[in-house]
Amino acid sequence: MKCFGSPLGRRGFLQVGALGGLGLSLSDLFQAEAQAEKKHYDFIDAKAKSVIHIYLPGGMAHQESFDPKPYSPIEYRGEMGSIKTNTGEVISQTLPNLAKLADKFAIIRSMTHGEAAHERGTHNMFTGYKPSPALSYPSFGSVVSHEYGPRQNLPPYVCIPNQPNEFAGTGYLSSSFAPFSLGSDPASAGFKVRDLALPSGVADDRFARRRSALDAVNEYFTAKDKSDNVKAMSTFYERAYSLVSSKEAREAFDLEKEDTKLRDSYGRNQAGQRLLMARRLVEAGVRMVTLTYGGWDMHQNITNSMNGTMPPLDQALASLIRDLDQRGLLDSTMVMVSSEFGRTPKINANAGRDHWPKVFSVMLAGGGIKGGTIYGSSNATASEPEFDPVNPADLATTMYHQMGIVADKELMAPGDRPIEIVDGGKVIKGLLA
Amino acid sequence: MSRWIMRNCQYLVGSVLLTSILASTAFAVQPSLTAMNPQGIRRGVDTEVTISGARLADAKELLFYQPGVVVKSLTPASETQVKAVLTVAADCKLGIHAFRMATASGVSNLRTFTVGHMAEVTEVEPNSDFAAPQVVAINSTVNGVVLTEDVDYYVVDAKKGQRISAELEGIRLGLTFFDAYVAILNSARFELARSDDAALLRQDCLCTVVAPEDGKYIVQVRESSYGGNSQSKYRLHIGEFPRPLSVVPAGGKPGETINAKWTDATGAQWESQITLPTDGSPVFDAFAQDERGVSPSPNRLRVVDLDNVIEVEPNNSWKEATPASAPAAYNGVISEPGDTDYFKFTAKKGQRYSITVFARKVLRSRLDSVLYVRNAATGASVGSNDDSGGPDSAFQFTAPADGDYSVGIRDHLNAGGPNYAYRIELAPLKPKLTFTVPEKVRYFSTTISVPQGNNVAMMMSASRAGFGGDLGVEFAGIPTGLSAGDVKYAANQTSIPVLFSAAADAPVAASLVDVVGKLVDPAKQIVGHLSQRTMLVRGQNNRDVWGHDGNRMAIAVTNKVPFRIEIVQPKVPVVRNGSMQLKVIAHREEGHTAAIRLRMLYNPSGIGSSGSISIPANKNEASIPMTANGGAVIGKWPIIIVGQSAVGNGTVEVATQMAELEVADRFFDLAIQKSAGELGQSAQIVVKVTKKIDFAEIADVQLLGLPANTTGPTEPGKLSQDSEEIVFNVVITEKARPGTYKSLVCRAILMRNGEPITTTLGGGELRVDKPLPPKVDAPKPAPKPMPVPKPVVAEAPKEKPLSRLEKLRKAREEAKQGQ
Repeated sequence: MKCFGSPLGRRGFLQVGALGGLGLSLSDLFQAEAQAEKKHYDFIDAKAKSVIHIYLPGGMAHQESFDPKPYSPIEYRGEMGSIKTNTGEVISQTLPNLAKLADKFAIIRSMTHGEAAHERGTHNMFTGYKPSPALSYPSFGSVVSHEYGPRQNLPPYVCIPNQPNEFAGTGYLSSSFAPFSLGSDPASAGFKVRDLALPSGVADDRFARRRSALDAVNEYFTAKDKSDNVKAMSTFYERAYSLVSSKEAREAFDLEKEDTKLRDSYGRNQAGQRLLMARRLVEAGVRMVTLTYGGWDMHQNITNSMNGTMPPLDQALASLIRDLDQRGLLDSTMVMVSSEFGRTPKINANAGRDHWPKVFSVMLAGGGIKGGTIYGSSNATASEPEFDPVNPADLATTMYHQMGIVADKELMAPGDRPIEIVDGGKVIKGLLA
Repeated sequence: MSRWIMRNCQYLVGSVLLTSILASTAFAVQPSLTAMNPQGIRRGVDTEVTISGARLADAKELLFYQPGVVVKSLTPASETQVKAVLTVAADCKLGIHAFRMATASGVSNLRTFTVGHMAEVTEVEPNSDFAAPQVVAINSTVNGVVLTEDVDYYVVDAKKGQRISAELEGIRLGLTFFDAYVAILNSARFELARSDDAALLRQDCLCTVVAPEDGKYIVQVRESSYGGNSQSKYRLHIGEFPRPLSVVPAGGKPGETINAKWTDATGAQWESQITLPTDGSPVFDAFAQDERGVSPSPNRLRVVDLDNVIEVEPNNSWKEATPASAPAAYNGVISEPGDTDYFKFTAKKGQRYSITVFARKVLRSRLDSVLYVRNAATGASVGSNDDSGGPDSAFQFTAPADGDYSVGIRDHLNAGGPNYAYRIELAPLKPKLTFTVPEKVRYFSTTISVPQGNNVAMMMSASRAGFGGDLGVEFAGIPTGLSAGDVKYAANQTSIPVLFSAAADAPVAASLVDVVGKLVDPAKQIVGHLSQRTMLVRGQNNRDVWGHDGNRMAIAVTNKVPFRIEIVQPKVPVVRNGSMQLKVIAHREEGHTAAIRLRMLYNPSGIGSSGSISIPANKNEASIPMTANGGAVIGKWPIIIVGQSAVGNGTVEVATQMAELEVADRFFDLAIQKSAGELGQSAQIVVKVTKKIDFAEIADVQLLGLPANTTGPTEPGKLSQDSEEIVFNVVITEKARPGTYKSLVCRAILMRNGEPITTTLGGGELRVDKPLPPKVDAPKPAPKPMPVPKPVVAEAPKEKPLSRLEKLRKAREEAKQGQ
């Protein structure tokens, strides 16, 4: 009788066992089989050549940003007023500059998931998956890095200023798909990306000699040890060499090359200079830039906190969209502004708002996103999605889709488990141009 | 320029700056205290102390929570230091004394110092080597500090049989989370006693030994995990004084003289008589005393009108319970591990007693009690309790039938020993009234400083237990010229605003005020007072580790400030689902231009208000937006707005007068009917009106929350009390976004007495549709000859690639079907 649970019969199984003696182990066989049975899709036409992922850690209040409720009682609507955008929609008064560009970006007002803890919410918004104790999922950037690899000698995935959290890493993928971190803040005086230049006193020929010496040593190790880390390390070196030896690539990291006026228009602060750096990098060929700005966990006195934190972002984001647009890059660059969750419908006793994952907002612009779209809506008190709820898997699938990646494709996780890039997400058609 | 001149020029510049800072503190605000040095004073002598903090230049007096300390002189030395000479009476109560400093601008935070009776010694480093300890005479108090990894050694001489007690005050100084450790060692470095935490003293520690032979004994002091910092100060009392850990009975009636049996850490026991006070306080601090000294800190006793019953062993089971009466207080000791003590009393059916254990609280015994109540005849359980808001147990007993009942007590971990004392109070339920004032600034107990000719407000809560009814409150001992008005709680109120107003000519003064609340009903004599907790040391997660419980609050009249604020009394109510702009005006004196931040002292139930409105600099007016939700409680509420503004080198808070906010039901209900319209068309939105309350005026109604690129009528709709519906024409332009919108609301504004009554009601739905395709029954164009259709090769539907799991499932399905 054949076992329904396995395509192998008992006899077949024994035969496979016998093969082991001939140099093909059972695990090799399964691996090969799993490899062969992985869901595979070819790349589709990519609207977005690059993505700038602006992540606002802490959980940005949707009420005080993209989804105000101006006619609800004060304890719900908060103390911020609202303004009309150039498309006639209403957003919070904290975003006067973006309001003038509303025809260039889309807002999802019905993002929803169920994770009210920072780290779990962050996981959702960086991977498109709920956290699992069984598997660590790769971040968007690492998947893009895995799928496409570097372009124009630049790392495919860059974090400004550093990898923002553990979920922005490679997950089950090889560490060679890890982000390249700037290591210091572009807004700080004397900002320099570490390790980009050759050490002083080392000329190109001396560097080449050193490199060949290192290669000789490395060859021994690569021959001896086949582990992922060794391979990843040599990938790092290869990429680092190409980065260090390419003037254009190095200059992508040099903010001093930007026009002073443009730097001012972004704002000489964390938000401004990080966003400007992101634009330089995608312009030069980086595929995915992830940056963070501010602390949005406003449990107390949200009005003051918003007044302090939002204006630089509003200015920088508006400048980024305008700048990308003027350079003709907006159509091929997707800007995604997200946070781990929104905040409670009602103002709490400390005049703040607490964690609220049931509904919140995400902003998308460029890369084939239809400007001026308001997708979905929350209810009268901004406590639940009213129409068209969007979950993190849908958002991730849409982002990958715009980048030409079919998110249903499977990647190989440890234990030869093929895992979808995103499981069960739908492309949000209503957002696409 | 010579170096000397340069140095002196700097000095000159420095002193000019200092003068200008001092000059700018004419309206200095609340002083703040960091420490008093020394932290302890010996009674019977005068001691000069330095009190340090901020904004102290206009210091006027010290307010003490307990009698016995007199300020001989008080001299502000600078903005940050005040020198004082304190005279402590010879019979002043030993232990912790709390005080605040009053300046011309306010009242400080609370600090404590300790009154001792032994010679005061200061630690002299180096004393961190066991071989070279600091020599101190027995019966002295050492003032020292433990820095990081610091170990301090002190040596005393003792004769064989002499008692050596070492008690340390560390956390009880209220400076920082300092967990001290004390040990007594002999000269050969063998530890005779050690203590990290003593139940009696919380994180502080004590050791008692009887010298086994003549010789030198070394007392070691350190932080329990070798930490420490400049705030880890301590007072170490080394002497022959008795240092009992427990006393039985731990209480008695007011005025009663009890035979107290004391037990110390060595297990030594002795008896003495204690006469309990009649001052009405339920707790008495008893200091053990004999010919060799006085204990530096007290053992606390309960003073209540209950007869004492003392356990008679054996009473380890309900069958051999110590006979007792009820109501009464049962006293005893869980004397050995596994011990349980039972008492027996008689009760009539339905008789109610509150059974409360005092062990960890008040007594600070080691016992973590578990309480049982059983039927004394059958042993059947009537009830039990382990913890009740702390390790101590409590149980509300109602006799199920006439008969005998027994009360049992044991340790939660079945531990026991000579210091596991307890007191079980079995008393009829008594009504209890307590007042509390919530913190205005987090972790600081609230004080009130009212500038001359101004107002300051606070919220005050009353907690009634075992009774109900209206309450009246008086502030006994309030400074002259200050009034709190008529403070009353209705029977259904637990928290009310209190407004203090100082006359313009009220003298600048401060006092600790007794808040006396009484039940208005004269038939019942129920009186309550303020209970004010001040957190002094906070642990992890800001847990209250050590603090002070006061029964009076500091209230002061302070120097005039150059601004006042006033609410413009609204002439109309705010209605449910309505809103209002509450106008506040500032009266500024010449020269005061700073912005004034405003907020409601409290929001009446169902009312929301903005907390971030300011009267801008150089302006005299602002309006606070306020909304009432659909469930706002209808009635007339006293409201107060508090305003903060920069004055001198700090911020001063004052309050408006008490105005009245009327919350009324809405006059009408508005129901927006569902409607739909196509792009480029217009839609009619019908709003059904249901009157709730008669009104004579005509209200203007606006339709708001329309989707982008749709426009409503420019003129508002009109609504009278006879209206049944209002219709709005909405134009949907081609640019509008198709979809369903639930964001529509109606805002109705009705003018009365020249002020608007605004009602905002929502829930409307508008669907914007794309125009339908042309109708199918339109005349069809003439049929063209149809080309012969080519056979179309059906394209195989693209299959979704399957995951491995999906494939396996499919294979199984196929296999099943193939069977």
